[in-house]
Amino acid sequence: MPHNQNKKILVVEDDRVLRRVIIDNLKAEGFTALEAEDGMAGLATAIAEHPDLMLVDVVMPKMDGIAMLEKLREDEWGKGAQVIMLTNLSDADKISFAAKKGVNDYLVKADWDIASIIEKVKDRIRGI
Amino acid sequence: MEPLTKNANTITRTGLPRNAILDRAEEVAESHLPLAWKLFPFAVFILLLIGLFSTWKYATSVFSILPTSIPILVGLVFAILFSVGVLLLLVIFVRSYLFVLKTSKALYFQNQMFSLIIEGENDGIWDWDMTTNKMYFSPRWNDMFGYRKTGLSDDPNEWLGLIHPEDVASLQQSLELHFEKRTAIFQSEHRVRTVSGDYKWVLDRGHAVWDANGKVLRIAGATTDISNTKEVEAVLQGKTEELERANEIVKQEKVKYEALLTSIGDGMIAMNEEGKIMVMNPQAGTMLGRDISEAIGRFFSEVMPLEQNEKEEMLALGDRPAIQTLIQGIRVTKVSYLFRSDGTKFPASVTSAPIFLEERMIGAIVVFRDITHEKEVDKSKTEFVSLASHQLRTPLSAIRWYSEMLNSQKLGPLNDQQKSYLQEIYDSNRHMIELVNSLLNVSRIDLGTFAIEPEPTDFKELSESVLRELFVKIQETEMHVTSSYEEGLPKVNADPKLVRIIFQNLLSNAVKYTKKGGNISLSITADEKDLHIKVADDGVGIPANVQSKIFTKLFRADNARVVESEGTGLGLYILKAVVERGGGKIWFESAENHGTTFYVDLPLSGMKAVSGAKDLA
Repeated sequence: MPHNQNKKILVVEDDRVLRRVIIDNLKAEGFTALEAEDGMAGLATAIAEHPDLMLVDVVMPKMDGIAMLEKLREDEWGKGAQVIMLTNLSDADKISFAAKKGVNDYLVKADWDIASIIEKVKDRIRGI
Repeated sequence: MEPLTKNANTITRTGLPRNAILDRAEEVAESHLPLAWKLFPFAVFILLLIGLFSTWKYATSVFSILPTSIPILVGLVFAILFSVGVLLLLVIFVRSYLFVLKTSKALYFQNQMFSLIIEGENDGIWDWDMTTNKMYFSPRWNDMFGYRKTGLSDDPNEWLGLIHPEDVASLQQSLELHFEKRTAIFQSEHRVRTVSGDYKWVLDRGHAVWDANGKVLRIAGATTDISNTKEVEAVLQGKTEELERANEIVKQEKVKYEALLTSIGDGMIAMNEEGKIMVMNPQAGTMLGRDISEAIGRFFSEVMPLEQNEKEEMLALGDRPAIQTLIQGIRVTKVSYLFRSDGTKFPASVTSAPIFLEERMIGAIVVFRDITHEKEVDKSKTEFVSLASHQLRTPLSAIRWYSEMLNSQKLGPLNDQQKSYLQEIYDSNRHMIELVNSLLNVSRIDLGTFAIEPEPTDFKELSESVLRELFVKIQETEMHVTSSYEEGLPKVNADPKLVRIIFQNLLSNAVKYTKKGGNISLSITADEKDLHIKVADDGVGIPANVQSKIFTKLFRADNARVVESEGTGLGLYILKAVVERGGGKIWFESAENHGTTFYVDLPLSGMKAVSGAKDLA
């Protein structure tokens, strides 16, 4: 738990209800949880805060997750940032795009328990 | 002249008196002699009388003043004159005789011919003497109409009275034409009333004899019974009328079918067995951008050289519906992309059917409908389902995560009832998520756009992973699951997501539809060509009457509903689509209450990649 406290996780999710439960769970695990409700805000927070891992939704207002990922990879720091796409889209073209952009995981929200998602996050953080 | 009947004792078998004819012929011949020939015998005769009279007169006068020396000389002169007269008379008689002889011979031949004619079995003979206005009818003639016993009188009016009123005018016209020598022979077809009152069709043919002034002396001829011919004619006429009626019907049908062809919205092309276009309706011309008159008579494959399948891949000639029909004589319906003359294309529902004439295929008819609009509607519908499904997943995710959170009791303890209620919410939500995923998959399958991303896949590992997911359920129902894998199964280049779907469907169905304590077995084997997956259970089975429907979208068998009320009716539909798109095949054996065995064969050569599409969820 103390180990996680040093780790910043950014949740970029436009749906307040989903964002809340993710944040609550991350906090419960001792992570420092940051949040953004669209791609634009998410990109700004990411570049400013350099989180250890980002959970990024795809369908969002202002800037969607794919566009945010594209911009992020243009940034010197962002090139190597850890990203898990967390979405309810399962379009192959979006997934393959994400794969090309070095996304660590592509999870369909409805198919995963929140506990499993947190496990994925922990695995990823441990791997760093 | 005497009527011919007078010489009845010399009548021939057919009833005609030959001598009478001969007499008649002489008279006719005589009537044609030059006047000089007729007067010559009289002149000679008068000269002779004068000679004789002079001789007698002189002799009496001479003898009264006898004797004298001159009388002997004069008597000699008169005697010489008398002898010359006798001689001339002799010559005239000889010449007349020779003439008559010659005429008789000629007439004899004519008579022979005439006899032959009148002795004919079927024809009746008649003879109309214009000078006496009397008619003669041969017995055969009388027989023809049944007047043998009563006998017909020789009054031509009685004969005319027997002619059918409708035919009198034409008969008279024919007679007049011949009398005026405008026809070589007299000929008339008319009906004659028989003794019983019926009418009989006959053909009368005859020839007239005229005098030197062109006046008709007589006309004789033969009557042929043509009622049979008339009957045949009547039948033929009937047939002709029938044909005309049939022709009329055909014409009407043609008009109807042309109206039909031009008014239907579908394109239609009919071709003969060689594949040459015989008919093309205006819609087909418009849809294909082709000139109909140019297309007719040309090969279908020449006029429409290209066609693509539903996935917009070029079709080989032998795979095109029209050609399949022509070669195999079968009816084919498929969605194709047809090309216009400008090179653009459109999706069409194409139906090709053979045309049979008395069990022989004489060609094929291709009917096609532009389904661009339907495709668009279908696409937007599918996209709507897809979008709606994504939107649905967000609240479903929320329900899933929040109920999971509560149930984890990280936020505080729950009593057993609360815990079980939460579990119900969680399970129902999971079911809802599965349903949405299935709907999404179906929409992708129907749109034909699900992705296949092959990679070396370990089927054993995947099937074991699916079995692990089902472990809780298997334990609950106390089922015996056995699995066997052939030693050294190769990894197959397949999309693991799809393979997972295959195993999930096969195994979860086996678990769902097998009763407590039942048996399930899974085996995977391989030969040189295929990987064989076999999943057998001893569950409820599939009733025989619905076995043909189980791969149909949304179909659920009644016995399946009883066992598992929450099924979607989409699993097997998706399964079949996935297997087939992966290049494999699926089939089953089942008996109600005795279980089901599903077989899936997938090629070891692997699945072909399909990109730019959507993943199955």
